Amino acid sequence: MNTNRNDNFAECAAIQAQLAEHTENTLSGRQVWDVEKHLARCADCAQISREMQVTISLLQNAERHDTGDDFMAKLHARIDTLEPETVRAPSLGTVLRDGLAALGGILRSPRIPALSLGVAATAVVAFLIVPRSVPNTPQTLTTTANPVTVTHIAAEPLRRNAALAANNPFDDPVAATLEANADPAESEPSIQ
Amino acid sequence: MFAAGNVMTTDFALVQRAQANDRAAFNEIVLKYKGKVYNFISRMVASALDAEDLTQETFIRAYLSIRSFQSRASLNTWLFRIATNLCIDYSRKQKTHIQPSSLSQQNESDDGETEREIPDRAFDPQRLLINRELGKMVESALQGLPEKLRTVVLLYDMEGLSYEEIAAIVNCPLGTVKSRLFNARIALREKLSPYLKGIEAL
Repeated sequence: MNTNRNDNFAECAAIQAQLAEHTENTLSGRQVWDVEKHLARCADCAQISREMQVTISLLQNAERHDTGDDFMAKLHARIDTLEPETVRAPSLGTVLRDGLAALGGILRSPRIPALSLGVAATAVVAFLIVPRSVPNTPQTLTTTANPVTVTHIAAEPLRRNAALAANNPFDDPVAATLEANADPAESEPSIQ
Repeated sequence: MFAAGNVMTTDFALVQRAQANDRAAFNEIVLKYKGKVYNFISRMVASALDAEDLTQETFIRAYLSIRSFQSRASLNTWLFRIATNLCIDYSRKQKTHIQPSSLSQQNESDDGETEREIPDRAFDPQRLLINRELGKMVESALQGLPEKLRTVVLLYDMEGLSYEEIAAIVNCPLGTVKSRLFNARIALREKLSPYLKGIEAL
């Protein structure tokens, strides 16, 4: 007798655990069959099932609350009072992320050949200008064979042109002028 | 499924614009979600004034941290997570600062009389009998639930979130969410049971 009652109690507990899912139709076909078979012969569980359905329905259809009419105005007023730094100051991580994103955008840009050319031209100009800005400091181009003083490099093309003009088979009159203007002292690069 | 995808796409676009400091996009987000957030918070806290303050705070926090929002999560889930955390903080503060008598705890009934809320928020059948209003019965039953159970049942049954979304919001396993939902419904049914018999016919 007691065993039979305990079995019924256990079965009722198992069925009641599935009542919510039964209401939501999320049980398998076999589970639905078991639940409905039990409900057909157990008045207590059938009553609980009906109450559970009503409870869920009440929750789902409960009146919805909404904010007051001035909610947006109040919110914007609060946002406006926030410190600008609080809102706008980006963190280091954000700065890095944005920087990488911008770099990625530039690299994907179709204008990259023009940009590259511009950067390269700037680099060449900078390279040529920087040594001339320090004329009093002789710098040495270190090669393995002959270290050559930089100040003599500018005289080299003039000397070479003069030599070429002097050997001109058409006796170019410019050759003599060029040869005369070429400094004999600088006709050979100084070897250090 | 298509509609859900559309919502996600719209939200994604709104978030991207808001992350680029587009105030109009953030405005759209607020207009879209303020009702859901307020509906949830108003049932988590007893005071309507506090509920509106907490809803505003939810969107202020969202505004301040929108740039850190990862699009992996849904905007809905993210906002509810902020709201839930604010409600938990609020509840803790209320427990440490118990105010036995406060004007903010008074409600004005329809006939102009001022009635005091039940201080311990316990389910009170006598009050339900007096009001005889279905909505108020449910509200009272909800208020009598432990906070963890109330959070889950509100998010699932009222806001229609999935188990997975709720698990992400309350930061607990899926099984715990299901178990809390089950216990919440059982508790609600037990509290409403004396009054449900007459409603079943509806």
